Amino acid sequence: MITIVDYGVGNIASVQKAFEFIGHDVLVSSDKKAIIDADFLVVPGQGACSQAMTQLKKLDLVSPIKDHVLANRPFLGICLGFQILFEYSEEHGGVDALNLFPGHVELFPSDSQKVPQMGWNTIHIQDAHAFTLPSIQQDSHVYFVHSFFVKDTTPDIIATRTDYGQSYVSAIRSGNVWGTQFHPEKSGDIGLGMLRDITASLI
Amino acid sequence: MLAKRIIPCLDVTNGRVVKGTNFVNLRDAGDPVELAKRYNEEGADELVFLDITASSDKRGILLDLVEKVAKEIFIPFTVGGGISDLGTIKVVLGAGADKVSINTASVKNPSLIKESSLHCGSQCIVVAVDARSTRTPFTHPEGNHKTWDISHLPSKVRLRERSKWEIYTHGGRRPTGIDAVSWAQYMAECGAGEILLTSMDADGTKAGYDIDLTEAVSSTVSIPVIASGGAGNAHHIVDALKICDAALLASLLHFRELSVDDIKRTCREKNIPTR
Repeated sequence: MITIVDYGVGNIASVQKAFEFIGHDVLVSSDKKAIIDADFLVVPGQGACSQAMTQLKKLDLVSPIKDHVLANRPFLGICLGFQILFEYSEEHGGVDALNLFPGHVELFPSDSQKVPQMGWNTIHIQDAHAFTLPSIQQDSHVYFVHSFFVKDTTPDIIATRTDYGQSYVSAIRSGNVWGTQFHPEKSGDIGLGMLRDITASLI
Repeated sequence: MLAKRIIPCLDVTNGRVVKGTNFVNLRDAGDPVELAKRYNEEGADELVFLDITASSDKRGILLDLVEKVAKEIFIPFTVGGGISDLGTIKVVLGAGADKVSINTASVKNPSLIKESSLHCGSQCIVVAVDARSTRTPFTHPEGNHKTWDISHLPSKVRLRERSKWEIYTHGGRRPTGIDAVSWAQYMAECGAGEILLTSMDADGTKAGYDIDLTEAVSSTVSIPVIASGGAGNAHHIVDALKICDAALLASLLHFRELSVDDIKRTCREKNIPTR
């Protein structure tokens, strides 16, 4: 059973549809008890960290999610659900995030490129040992939609980097905890393959 | 490197995909679900579904069809046609769309763009702009609707003497008195995440995208621009992708004159980054 956290930031229908397509039962929930009991937690979301943190606090889901990740239980954060794993976001002069991994979230400069980054970009695998999933290959194209990005974190968790004006962290893995800036659920066969491989590696 | 996107567009009416020329003379192009599956398999980068008569017929969007298409594809999926309020946007996103395309309602009520981008995020709000050269006054065969009253809009978007393109709504039936480039800029300020820019002059002609229009808008706004209308061969697509982010295609793909693969091969030969 996959539990997708529904905390009111962005569309979760496509994440649910993708997991169902690869053969999993999915529970979509914003209920604290359901989140605490989850075997495999997926936190999607699009938009800004401030909005995400406000919603998670309102639903009293901050500590259940933190506890889940700290216990190294199966976890996948997608896009905004990936960004909130870090220390803080630079938006509005600084917003505290979940502070589970070192690093922070900043805004792409829009002087020389379109913001949001919207479309298919390539991933550069950083550590073959941490990221040995059959579906994930060097320079695969995956789908991104975001204005904020994570420039850096501790090197041993960086799974992939991507270039958009500058190099940034596009996926992390720390034990059973995964985070992707891109949307595997919207990345065609490669993305579905990733979801399959990630769930198989965890459950 | 960020790839330029090739986006098939399903113009749907009465449950069928259709394609016209200069927004009229519609002919049947197939079943939307079958075409969506085919384009997903062929490596299309996104898919757009436009219910082209929802707005002029004053009815809701074909939700069951949106759901059926969404079930078949795992690439970004944009849905448009007669969407005029936040409630409908949420329903359409819930039916499996990733983005909504808003045209007529953006002119009627620009605060919808502000409100919906705040609620759902800019990334899922696409503003569709249908533009026509001011030098080619337009008469729809079924008669033009009367021009918009745009007194509720900021004066900076109004058509000026040197305006080169005017925008139209209601599937190209209704002139607005709005300058296309200023409008795109204003929509970006309101929170639109992307502009879907259709040249009514070029639409269906196969003479190439309107490069002047596309360049004027793409160089003005800081959000991605999708060029639409007029592709006749892969080189036209290359020309558009040199100046904007994505190309929308309909009849060329529907009638199998080109495949997504053919287009991407030509793009690669011309050093346009593709997936």
